[in-house]
Amino acid sequence: MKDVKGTKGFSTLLQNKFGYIFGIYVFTFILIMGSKIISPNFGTWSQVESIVVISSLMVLIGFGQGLVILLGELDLSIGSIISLSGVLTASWLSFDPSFNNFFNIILILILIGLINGIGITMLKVPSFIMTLAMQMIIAGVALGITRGTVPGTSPLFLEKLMTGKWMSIPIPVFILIVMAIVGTFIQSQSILGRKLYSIGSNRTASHLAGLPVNLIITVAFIISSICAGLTGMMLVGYSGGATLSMGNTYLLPSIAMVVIGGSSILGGSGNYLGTVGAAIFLTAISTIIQALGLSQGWQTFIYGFMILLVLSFFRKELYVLAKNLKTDIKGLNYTGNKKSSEEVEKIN
Amino acid sequence: MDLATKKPKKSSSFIHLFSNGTLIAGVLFLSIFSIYVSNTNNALSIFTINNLFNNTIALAIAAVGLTLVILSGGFDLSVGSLIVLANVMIASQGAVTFGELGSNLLFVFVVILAIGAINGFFIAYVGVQPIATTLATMIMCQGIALVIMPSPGGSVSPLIYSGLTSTLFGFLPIAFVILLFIMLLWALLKRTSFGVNVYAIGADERSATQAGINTRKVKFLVYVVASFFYAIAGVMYSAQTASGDPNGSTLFLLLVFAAVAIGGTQFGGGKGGAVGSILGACILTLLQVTLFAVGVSSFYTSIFQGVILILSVVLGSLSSKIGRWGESQ
Repeated sequence: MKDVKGTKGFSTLLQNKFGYIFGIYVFTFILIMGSKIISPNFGTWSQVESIVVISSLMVLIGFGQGLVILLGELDLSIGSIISLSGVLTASWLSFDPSFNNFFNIILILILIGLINGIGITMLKVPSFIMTLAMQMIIAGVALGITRGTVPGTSPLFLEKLMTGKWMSIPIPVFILIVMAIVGTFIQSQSILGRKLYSIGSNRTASHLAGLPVNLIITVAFIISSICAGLTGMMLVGYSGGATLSMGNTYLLPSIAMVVIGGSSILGGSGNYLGTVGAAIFLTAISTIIQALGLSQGWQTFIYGFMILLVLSFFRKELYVLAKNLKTDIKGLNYTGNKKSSEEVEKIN
Repeated sequence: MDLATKKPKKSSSFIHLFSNGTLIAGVLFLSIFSIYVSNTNNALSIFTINNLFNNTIALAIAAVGLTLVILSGGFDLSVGSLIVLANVMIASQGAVTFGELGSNLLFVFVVILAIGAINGFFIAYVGVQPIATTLATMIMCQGIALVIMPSPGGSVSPLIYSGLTSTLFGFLPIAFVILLFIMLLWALLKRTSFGVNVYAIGADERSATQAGINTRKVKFLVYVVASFFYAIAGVMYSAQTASGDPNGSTLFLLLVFAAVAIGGTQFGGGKGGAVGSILGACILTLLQVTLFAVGVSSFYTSIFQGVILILSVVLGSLSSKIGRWGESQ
């Protein structure tokens, strides 16, 4: 039987959770520094700055989606929620930036999360389907209330927030750092976070232990909805307007950054710092690829390829396969015949 | 009484009818169809029925492929992209003769099956989660499609777009014939040991492994066979749109998943079938035309589709509860 030697060495280092997260940050750093080889314009502070600013738009949904995935569920409605929130922000808050309007938008977001939660916990609809349906419904609602035309304005306070600087550092950078600290604290250290990990690992045991499972799941979806909504607002401030499809490009990356960040898609494990690292990593890759000047198609292809590479790079099975391949190759002596099993044993 | 000889009570056959998720889909389909017929002139003419089939078939075949993956307990986000890739590969060639078309289609099938094999390899042998792998391949295929055709255009061979969308003998829609062929294929697949293994793995993977099933090989093959269906769906999609569009994938992806869910296939695997998914696809497209016929603004179509999706899943789980209650009486 082939020896499953994956217990020592590089692959083990990566298997350890914190080693993995540290690895992502280091890899991203090397990537950015290494891109200097391609052109002196790369790897500069301003490029790093823009990468962090763009990442800051993603970390909030990464948090929301991360909490949901921690439970072993999925929230596919965030794309439409971002768009709806953006549309409402552009329509209401641009002309009347009052706390009243802001609060109303938050209420709508809470309602959406509540509907998701009720459908998933009480009606027992699988989260994938429930949030998929909500994605369709919310997109339809947004289309219906705007009749296809969206006001192209954004509230002044949001624009100042997203494009302004403090101590000559863009404000979004601070948003990212604060979010990283707060988010990691909530997910890993708070009581709510602990309960989420528990439910994600073993729902039945958590239920029997007395946790209000349905309530917590609903809360997670409400948080996810609010995060998506806030991201929509940030986007409006950043780009100066809203469109009906602005949120669509954020759905799949939100899943990607949680998964690449080390969380298990089945729930029960993960660390928000990893998600943040993955967000920066993905943004860095797409920025560098874009700057390479390749066509849109090649950019997209390389982006997907990198994701697959990173994902499989951290799988033990890959090393087992490679090792077995090595043994097979060594098992052929110079005349091309397979060596006897004793000789193979000696190699190992 | 000797327990060994006590026969289990046969559940009332009426209740038993309700425990089938596919049946719910069928009922839903018929109700929507009747609304459609009562609101459209010439609803039952050959022309409109042919149109209905042509508009549904790509979604239906894609849903069959995805059903196989979901049954095994897996997940496939690359459905939309593979179909789009097939579409641009066909539209960029615009084959005229049978020979050109033949080699074009052969190449398309080889490429799509190869990508399915890549999916299967990374999922079954490297162990990357299906959702993550297919996410990556989806993005890669999107990229390749954009490289082949940076913006919508091209032309699909007339042999396909008029050949596959018309009728045989003047009244039988070719799309319907193809659909029957697919259903036959599925019925055969279900009866092979491969088909049985897929259901087994989906129901309980660990038991299946311990029962001696080579789970890795079956999981690998699932993605390859599914991609075969996606390739066919891609051809039919090209027949329907008659041009190439590298950007169409996300909406289609959602609809394919919705079709599978409406059809009653469980997302954990092990339960369901292609017939339901085909019905689900029919319901979704029929809904679109019915809403239009009734006079609902097209702005609200997706709201209805979303509500139907939730309703059908709730009805499905409700019906299986009724079925279990019926059996316990």
